[in-house]
Amino acid sequence: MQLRIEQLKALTPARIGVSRCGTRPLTATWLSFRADHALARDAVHSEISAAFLNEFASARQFPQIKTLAESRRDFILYPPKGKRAEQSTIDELTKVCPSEIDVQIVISDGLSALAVEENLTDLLPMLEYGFALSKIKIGQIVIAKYGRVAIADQIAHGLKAKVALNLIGERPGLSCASGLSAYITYNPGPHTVSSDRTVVSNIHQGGTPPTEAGAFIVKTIERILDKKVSGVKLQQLG
Amino acid sequence: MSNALISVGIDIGTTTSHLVVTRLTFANSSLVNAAPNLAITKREVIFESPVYLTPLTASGEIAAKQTAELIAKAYDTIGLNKNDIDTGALIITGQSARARNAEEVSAHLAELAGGFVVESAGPHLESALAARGSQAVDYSCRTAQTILNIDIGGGTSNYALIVSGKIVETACLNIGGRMLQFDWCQNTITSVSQSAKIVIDHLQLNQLEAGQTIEIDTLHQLARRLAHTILATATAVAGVSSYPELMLTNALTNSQPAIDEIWLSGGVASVIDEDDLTKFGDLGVFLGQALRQELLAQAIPFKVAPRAIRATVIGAGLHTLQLSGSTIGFASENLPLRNLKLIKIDASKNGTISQQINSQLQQREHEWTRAPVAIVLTGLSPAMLSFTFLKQLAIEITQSFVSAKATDPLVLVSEVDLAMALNLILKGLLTTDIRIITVDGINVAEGDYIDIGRPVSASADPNTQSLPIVVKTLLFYKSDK
Repeated sequence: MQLRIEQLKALTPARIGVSRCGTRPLTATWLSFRADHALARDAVHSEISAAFLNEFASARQFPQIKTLAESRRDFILYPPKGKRAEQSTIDELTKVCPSEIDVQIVISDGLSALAVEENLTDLLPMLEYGFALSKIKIGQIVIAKYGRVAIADQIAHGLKAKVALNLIGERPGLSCASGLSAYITYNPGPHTVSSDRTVVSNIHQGGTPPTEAGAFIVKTIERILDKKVSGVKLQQLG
Repeated sequence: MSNALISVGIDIGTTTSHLVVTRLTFANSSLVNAAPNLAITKREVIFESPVYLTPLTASGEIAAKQTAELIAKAYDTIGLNKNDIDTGALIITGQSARARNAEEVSAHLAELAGGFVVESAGPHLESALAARGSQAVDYSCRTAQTILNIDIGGGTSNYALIVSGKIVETACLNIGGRMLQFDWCQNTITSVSQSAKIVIDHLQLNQLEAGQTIEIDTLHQLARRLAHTILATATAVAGVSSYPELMLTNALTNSQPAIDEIWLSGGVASVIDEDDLTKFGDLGVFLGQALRQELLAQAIPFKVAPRAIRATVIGAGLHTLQLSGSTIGFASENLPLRNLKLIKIDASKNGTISQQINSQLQQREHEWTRAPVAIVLTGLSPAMLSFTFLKQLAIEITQSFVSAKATDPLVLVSEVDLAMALNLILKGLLTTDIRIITVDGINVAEGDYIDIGRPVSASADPNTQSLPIVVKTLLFYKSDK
C-alpha cells in the first residue's frame, strides 16, 4: 500500500514524516524546528507591546496593574509571583473601577503576550456586545502585567464581582504561539482552587476563532450566573 | 440523554429495493476545555432488509402502493415504529427516478417513513451515496489512494472519483443490468430499453429486440460492448465517452491523479463471479461476466465492494445526515424545519449581500414574504471573521431581511465557525420576536434544499447542542447537460 506522505502531512501541523540523514534530522527540518522553538521562546519572554497598550488600552482608559513580579524575567523564574498583586494595588483599583458587578474582565499577558495582542481586538468587542445584549454588567476592564490565572480572582474579589474572567495568553507550543484561554470563576476569592474554574482554551484563528469564542464565553457565563457554580461543579451538572 | 440517532435508508431502484436501519452515535470531539464540537463517532448498520424486486405496473412504472406495503412489512418484521426514526433518506434511484410517477411514490413513502425522512434523487447524489456506502470513500481516506467507485445497478452506472477520501467528481451513464429482460422459460427477449437500442443499432445486432429468441453469443457480444463502454467512460480523457448520448451527466474530466483502483458496487457488481446466466431475468450476469473479463484483460486493479448490492442504501442511511457545529444559535420550539430552499451567497463581498440575496431569490423563484429560506454563507475563511466584518455582514443581512418583509425564521448556514457569534450580533440588530437560526460546520456544496432537525446533545449544557442537518435535492432527475 503506497501511502502518500505529503497528503498525510497536510492533515496535521505536527512534525511528522520529517525524514532524516543518518542519525540527525535534515537541515531544513532542523532549521524549521529551531525557528518555531525560537518563536515560542520569544512569546514566553515577550512583553505586551507599547503600541498595543497605547492604541487599545490607554485609548479606552483600561487601568493597568502589575503583579508581585518585578520584571518579565522575575515572572518567568518565580511563577507564584504572577498570581498575586499588592493589596495596595487592589485598593487603588477599587477607586477607579465600579464594583458589585456581574463580571470582572482581566486581560493578562500570561505566557504569550502575542496571544493577547492577536486575539483581543476581536474577542473583546464580541464580549462587550454579547454581555450588553444579555444585560450582564461588566464594569471596567483591567490589564494585569505579568499576570497568571489566579490574579483575576484576586482583582474580581476586591471589586466584589460575581464572576472573574481572565483572558490570558497560553503557554506557546511549537505549532502555535498565539493561543488564548479564558478562565472563568464564579464567586472568586482567596478560597478559589483550580477546579473552581471553567476554561475555554485554544482561542486563535486555527482553533476557535476569537469572535465565536467570545459568543461562547458570553453564553457560558450566562449559564454560570444562572447555576451559581463554575469549574468542575458546573461540569457535574452534565 | 441518548447520544445516538436512528436513521433509515430506503432505496427504490430500477430493479431492486431495500431498506437499512442504522445507528449514528455522536460525542464531543473537541480538545479538553476547548469550545465543544459534537461529531458522529460511529456509524453502524443495525438492520438490513432482504433485497426486494421493485414492484412495477404493467406499463413499467413503479407501483407506488405495493412498494409502500413492502416497506411497511419490513418495518413490522423488525418491530420498527416510525416514531423511533430520527432521520433518514428515501431515494428513488437509477432510471426509476425518471419514472413518471416518481413523485407519487415518494409521497406514498414519505408518509410512512416518519416525520423526518427526505425524498431525493439525482445522478450526482446517487453516485456519492454509493461511493460512501461501498466504503470506497473510507478506504481512500485511510490509504490516501485515488479510487473510482462505479455502482452498476439495473438502469445506470454511477461514477464517483475519490481522492484521499474526498469525492471530487461524479457522473452517471445510462447502462445497467436491466437494459434487456428475458423470459428463460420461453427463451425469448421480453424487453429492450431505449438506451440499449442505441448500442444495439450501433453494433447492428438487429436480432436483439423484444419477442425474439435469445441468442447467448449475441448477448455476450452486447455485454462486452457495454462493459467496454463503462470502463472507457471511466478512463477516457477529458470527457470523451464512446456513447455520449448515454451520459446522463457531464462526463468525468479525469483531471485528477491516476486512479489506483476501481471499486465496483451495485447489483451487477454483486454477480460478477456468477456462472449461471439464467439466474436472473435480465442482462445482469452477462454484464457482470463481461466486466470482469474486460477488467482482467486491461489489467485494471479492481475490487468488489463488501455488500455491493446495498452500497447506495447504506450510503443513504449512514451518510445523508450532518451534525452542525456545537456553538450555534437557535430556538428549539421552531424545529424541525423542512424543505428550506438554499440561497447561496458569497459572504466575503461586503456591500453586495442584499443584491446577491435578491438575485438568488429571483433565480430560484422564491417569494421570501411567503416562506423562509436558508441563506448559505460561502467564500469565508477563519482569518476573515473579525468582529467588524461579522457585524457588517449581520447589518446587511438584517437590512435585506427587513426590507423584504421576509418570513422568519431567518436561517443562516456556513461551513466556517461563526454561528454563535453571528447569532448574538443578529439578535442585537433585529427585534426580539424574529426567530433566528444560525448553524455552522455544514457543507452544502451539493444540494438545493435543507432540513433542520431537533437539537441533539451529549450533555445538559444548553450551549453544547448540535442540529442534525440534511442537505438534499428535491427535484427529480434533471439533466445537467
